[in-house]
Amino acid sequence: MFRTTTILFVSTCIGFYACQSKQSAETKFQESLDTLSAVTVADTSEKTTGDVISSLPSPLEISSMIKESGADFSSSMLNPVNNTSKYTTYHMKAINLGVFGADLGYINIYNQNKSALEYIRSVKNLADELRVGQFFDFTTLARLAKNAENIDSLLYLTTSGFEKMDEFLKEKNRGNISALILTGAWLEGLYLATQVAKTKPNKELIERIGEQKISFQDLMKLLENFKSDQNIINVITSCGTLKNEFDKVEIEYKHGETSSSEVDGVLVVVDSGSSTVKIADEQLKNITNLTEELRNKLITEI
Amino acid sequence: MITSRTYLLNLKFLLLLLPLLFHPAIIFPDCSSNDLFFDNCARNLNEYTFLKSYQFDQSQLKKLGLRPTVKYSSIFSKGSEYFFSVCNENRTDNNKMILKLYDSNERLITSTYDPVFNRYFSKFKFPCRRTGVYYIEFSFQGALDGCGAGMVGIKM
Repeated sequence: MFRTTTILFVSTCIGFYACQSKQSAETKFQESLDTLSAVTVADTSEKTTGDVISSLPSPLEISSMIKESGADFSSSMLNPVNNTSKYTTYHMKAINLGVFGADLGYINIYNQNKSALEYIRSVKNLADELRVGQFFDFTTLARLAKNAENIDSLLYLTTSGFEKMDEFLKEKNRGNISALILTGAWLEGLYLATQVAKTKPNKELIERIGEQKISFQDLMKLLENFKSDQNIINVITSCGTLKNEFDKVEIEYKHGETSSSEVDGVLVVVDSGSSTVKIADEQLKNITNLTEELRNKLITEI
Repeated sequence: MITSRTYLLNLKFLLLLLPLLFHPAIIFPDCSSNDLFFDNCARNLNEYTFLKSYQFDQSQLKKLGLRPTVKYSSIFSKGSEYFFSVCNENRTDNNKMILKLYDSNERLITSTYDPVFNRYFSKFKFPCRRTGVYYIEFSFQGALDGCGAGMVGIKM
């Protein structure tokens, strides 16, 4: 009996370490690939401003706003999944991984299960090709996408998958890839919002489009860190006209006092300040057209 | 039939293997790799849609000789209600993680720790009225070692 217990115990320990060794070998393989990538795309490590680590808003926010505006779901606005195999360079894969990620967020917010599965597949394929597919468990995501009741879990797993992938890329000195993914996601969010505002104008949505000026400035700062990557210089150049148009948007702030009070055990913050966006019809029209032009260029230019 | 000598040999062998069970990786999984901890923390968001998570591992910062606080910037939008949840993964003490929210001028908006009444809150709601850059700062109150996560959810 004792011998059997000992054998079981030792086997478990050996098994545990064997698993660790296997993981270690896989990690080493991944690291060697990452080193190769870091050498190929030299001097592109991300710089942060001072001690602050910045993050762009999730395209989920825009999608939620679109849904709140009362607009119907429109699959015709999305980047078709059959474009996935056309992306052969790393920068096109990265940009369109972001585009498909934003599309998937939009699909999930609208609970469109059938489309979700196709877009999960595209996200997974592009992520695999960029060697970051480990953050998307296709089997689990596909299972969740089959049932409308799983929407919260699906949203959580896809959003956190993108978040983990972003952290991983930054850690591995592949911040340029991360910046391109963010660019694709941000641009697709803006594209969806402007397309909806074109057909179904809504004050809140238009204001939200104008507010993208702030995110756009942050995105440009992020891209500027990777100027040794020619593909990123091309993206910055392509964004030039859109930036000029956003520069004309004015955001006025009224600062006020903030206070916090406890309501049912939860702290609730009350801010008496406000912000107002000033965006003329002409500016909105130009932003809409330029966004469409830029987005279509980035999803088709091979 | 197990003799007393065999029994002792087996016991010695087991004792040699015992430290393996208390390997730090087994008892205290690294904060960054503990998905279950993050998933549980995200559940606190309830009806809010998960937007972003932040991880704060003070011991790692100390090891690297860095300041034991981390500050992130994030853009929040007018008209959205944000929900912040803070979770501690206590390893060596019971100290609580503190989340402070600042506006774009770095003026303190709120904190999960109220020093006047020495009270901690694990969550707060922030109905945003000003679109702009906000700063989220994490620290541990007097802790020697701490690991935690902050989650942000959104409701339009």
